Order: sequence, then C-alpha cells, then structure tokens
Amino acid sequence: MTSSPAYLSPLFGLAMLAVAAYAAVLLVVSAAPGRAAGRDVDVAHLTMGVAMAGMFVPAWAVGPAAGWEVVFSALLAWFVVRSVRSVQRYGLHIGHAVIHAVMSLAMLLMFRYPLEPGRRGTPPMSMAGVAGGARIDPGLGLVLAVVLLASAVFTLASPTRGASHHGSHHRPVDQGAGGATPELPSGPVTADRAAGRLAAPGLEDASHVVMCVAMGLMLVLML
Amino acid sequence: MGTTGGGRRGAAAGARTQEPSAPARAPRDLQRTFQLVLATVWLFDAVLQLQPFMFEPGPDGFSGMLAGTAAGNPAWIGRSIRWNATGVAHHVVLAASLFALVQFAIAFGIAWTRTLRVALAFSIAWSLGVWWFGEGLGGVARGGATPFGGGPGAALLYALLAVVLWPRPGTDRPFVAARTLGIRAATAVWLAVWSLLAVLAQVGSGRSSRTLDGLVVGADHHQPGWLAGIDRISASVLVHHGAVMAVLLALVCVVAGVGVVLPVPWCRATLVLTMAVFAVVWLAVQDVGGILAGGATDPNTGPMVVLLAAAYWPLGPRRPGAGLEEPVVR
Repeated sequence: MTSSPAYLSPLFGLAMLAVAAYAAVLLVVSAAPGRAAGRDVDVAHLTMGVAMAGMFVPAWAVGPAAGWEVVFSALLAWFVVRSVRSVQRYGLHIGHAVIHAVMSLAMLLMFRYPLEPGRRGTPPMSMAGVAGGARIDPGLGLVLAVVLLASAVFTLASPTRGASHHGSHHRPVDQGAGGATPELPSGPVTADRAAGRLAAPGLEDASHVVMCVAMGLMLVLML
Repeated sequence: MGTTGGGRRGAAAGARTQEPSAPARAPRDLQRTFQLVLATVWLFDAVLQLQPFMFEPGPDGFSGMLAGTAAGNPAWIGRSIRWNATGVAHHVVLAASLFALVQFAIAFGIAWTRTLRVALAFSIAWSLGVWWFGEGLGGVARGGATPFGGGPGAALLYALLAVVLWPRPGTDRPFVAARTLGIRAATAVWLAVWSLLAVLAQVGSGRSSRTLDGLVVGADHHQPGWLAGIDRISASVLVHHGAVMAVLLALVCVVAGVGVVLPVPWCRATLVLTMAVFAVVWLAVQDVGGILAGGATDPNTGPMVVLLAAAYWPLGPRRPGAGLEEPVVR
C-alpha cells in the first residue's frame, strides 16, 4: 500500500476550508441590495470547499454522502440551466456556468463513486470509511480533471479579473469604457470599502484556481 | 471573446451589475492559446506528481521508475541516471514534492503573462533534465525509441513546444509556429522532427513485432475494461503485423513532414492524418500515457504531437512553406 506524505492531505484540506470560508464571506458581502451577481458561484464554492475538505481529511467530513449528492445534483441542474441561457444570449462559448456545472458533476461523481480504502494509490486522502464498490469511469474522470485544470490555467491567464465568478459579460454600471474597475472610495476604512477589498476579482479568481486544482487532484487520485 | 471586468469590487462601491449585449469578439491569439494548453499539460503533470506512489521509495516507487530507464543505455548515461535515482530514493518525499512544485511553478508561470518567458525558458531546461534522468533519453540511445511507445520522449516535445511557442508579437499567419521562428526556421524544425520520427520508427527494436506487442501488453495492467479491450485488438495487430505497422507509421511521418510544404488543402489533410494517427497511437498503444492505470508521470507524446501539429495548421490562403518569407511584426 502506498501513501502520500503526511503534509499533503491537511494542506489541501486547509486550502479547501479557506476557499469555503472566503465564499462564505462573499455571500455575506453580497447580501447588500443590488449585489446578486456571483451568489450562485459562492454557494457552489462554499459547499464544494466543505465537501472537498472532508475528502482530503476524513476527520473533517460533515454530513452524509447522500445529502451532498442532493446538493451537487441541484447545483448541477442550476448551472446547466444558466449555461444554456448564457449560450442563448451570447452565442456559443464556454462560460463560467459551464465550468461550475462540470465542477458540480465532478463532485457528484466523487460522492457517488468514492475511493475505496486500500485501492491502488489510495490515500490518506480517501474518504476512508466509505465503502465503495463501483469506480468512477477513468476516462470520464480524466476528462473532468483536464477540464478543471484547464479552467485553472485559463482563469489565471484571463485579462478579465473575476470572470470565473461573474462571466466575462457582466460589468458594473459605473465601470469605465476601458473596462477598468472603479476606484474604491478614499477616506477612512468603511464597511463597504473593506467588503470591496475582500471581494476583489483577483481573490475570487484565486479561490477558483485553488478549487479547480484540488478537484483535479482528487479526480486523478480516483482514476 | 470580448471582455469586461466584473468583480464585486465595483459593486461594493455601490454599483449594480448589468449584462450588456454580446460584445464584439477580438481575434483569438492562437499562440497564447497554445501556450495555455501547454501550461495545462504542465499543471496536469504536477498533479500526477502528487500521486501516492511518487512518494514511495523502492522499485515500485518514483525512484524505481527513474532507475528503470537506465537499462540498455550506454554505461555512462546509465550511471548518471542511476546516480540521480539513488539521490531521489534517499529523499523521495522531498524530491517528489520539489518536482511537483517546479511543475506547478512552470504551469502557473506560463499562465501569468509577466513570468511567461522565464517559465518557458525554465521549462526547456527542466524538460531536458527530465528527458535525460527521467526518460533515459527516451530510449534513443538504446534503440528503443519507436514513436509507437513515445519515442523520442515526451519531455523532448515539451522543450520543443516551449521553443515553437516562445512569445513574439506578430500575426499567427500563415501558421502559429512561424510567428516565433519565422517560416523558414519553423519549416526546418518541422522537417527535422518528422525525419527523426520516421527514422525512429524503423531503427532498433521499432520494427520488432515482439517489442511493439510488448508496449501494449506492458501498459495493459490495471486499465479500465474498455481500454483493455482496445489493447487486445492493438496487441493482436502489432504481434502479427508489427513490422508492417512500423513501416506504415514511418510513411505517415514522412507524409507529415512533407505536408508542410504542400498547398494548403493538402497540408491540412496531412496534418489531420497526422493528428488522427497519433491520437489512435496514444489511445491504442500508449494507453493514454498509462494515466488511467496509475503510475504515469505525463500523458506521453500523443497530445504533444497533436499540439505541435496544431501550431503548423495553415491559417491563411498561402501554404506554410511557400515563399519562405518572415512574418510581419505588428
């Protein structure tokens, strides 16, 4: 039986909790009136972060697998509908809703076909204790992993910060013609200003990149 | 895709969001797109490096895999490979972690425009190191570098792609590789690559049915059922007609090489043929690089050959090799 180094699972588990915590903060920030954009992504990242942390460190797992399957099925349906609407509106493109639909599908499959403890390459990061018989189709797992890793790379390279949360078609009403993000108000640090800093598009993209890499890793381990 | 920023930062300042009508599409920068595809492969390799067996010493672990590539190479090359493998075996967790970190750095470095050149330059050096110490020179020195099995080594193609996709302002026409190298040099590189592949398909053990069959059988373990089924077919073909298949593969390599100087429709046809053949080889002989069975460190040569061929896809009415003029720099 092989095993990963001791630091790896807690490292990725902590990263997932950080992503989930950040998504929770963004949800609170977005509770202000007129700031609905991206809430669905925040909900997705919050649930995925908590669920993935439990996969990397079984002691941190919360809730039954069946419950998570319901959650990710609902998210999958939501993002599929959003993807279709986005294509209808803007033409054929791969928007963030498509990527989040893929992420939801990957989560659903990871709960449906959990790693069997003791199988090749299994882990410390194993959803240990969950008995598994069937195995995720390796071809499908590979495709999902590659799509997620590509999403991480293309998000990092995108000139549009925040597109991983809001898509590239959204823009604030008061944004300049060049697409620059408006300056934050100067003066003493206000709640709104602090919220603005927390909700920086670069941070949103970073959380997406971390989530995609972690999910890609878990899928590779499950091949 | 037209892009506009859309973070909550603006929203935090009191703005609402709106969805404008579809913006005009800017022409896609294909060189950048291919660089990001290459970055994705590096990121995938980094993730593969985190597989549990990579942190294991012994013959079934990472160091054992490295040491195994020494066999059959000239003594001094074999010694250098074993020396490296021994060092890795003594500090396997540290080495595997470091290797993963380097590959993450290359992937994210290519993705981030400011570090693109540094990352590509480093990836060339790293790839050549991996080619020597991790792939045993791709089997070239021991006469076992048939393209069926991934010869002359995936790492060598990583380095080549970093050169071909080196950033340079200009147009992607007549084909992406010419943007960096110029049409003349890019064409020469293409001809050299395919000449080498054609030769490798015919020399050494590349024509041996037994060797070619062994490639499939050796990769067959732990594969999913559908791939094992494909393996049985390809093993049967190779064991009975291995020499013929090697000749056919060499012919495909020659056609691919010559194709780049043919008129555009013929050039495209040869590129499609090349990509299709190497996709089939990747699936039916290389077994998707062995990724689905575990124990893989990279996806092998199939995807890299396809990416290289894409960089030579004619984008204009003029055939790539015609005129041999240099691309216009904007």
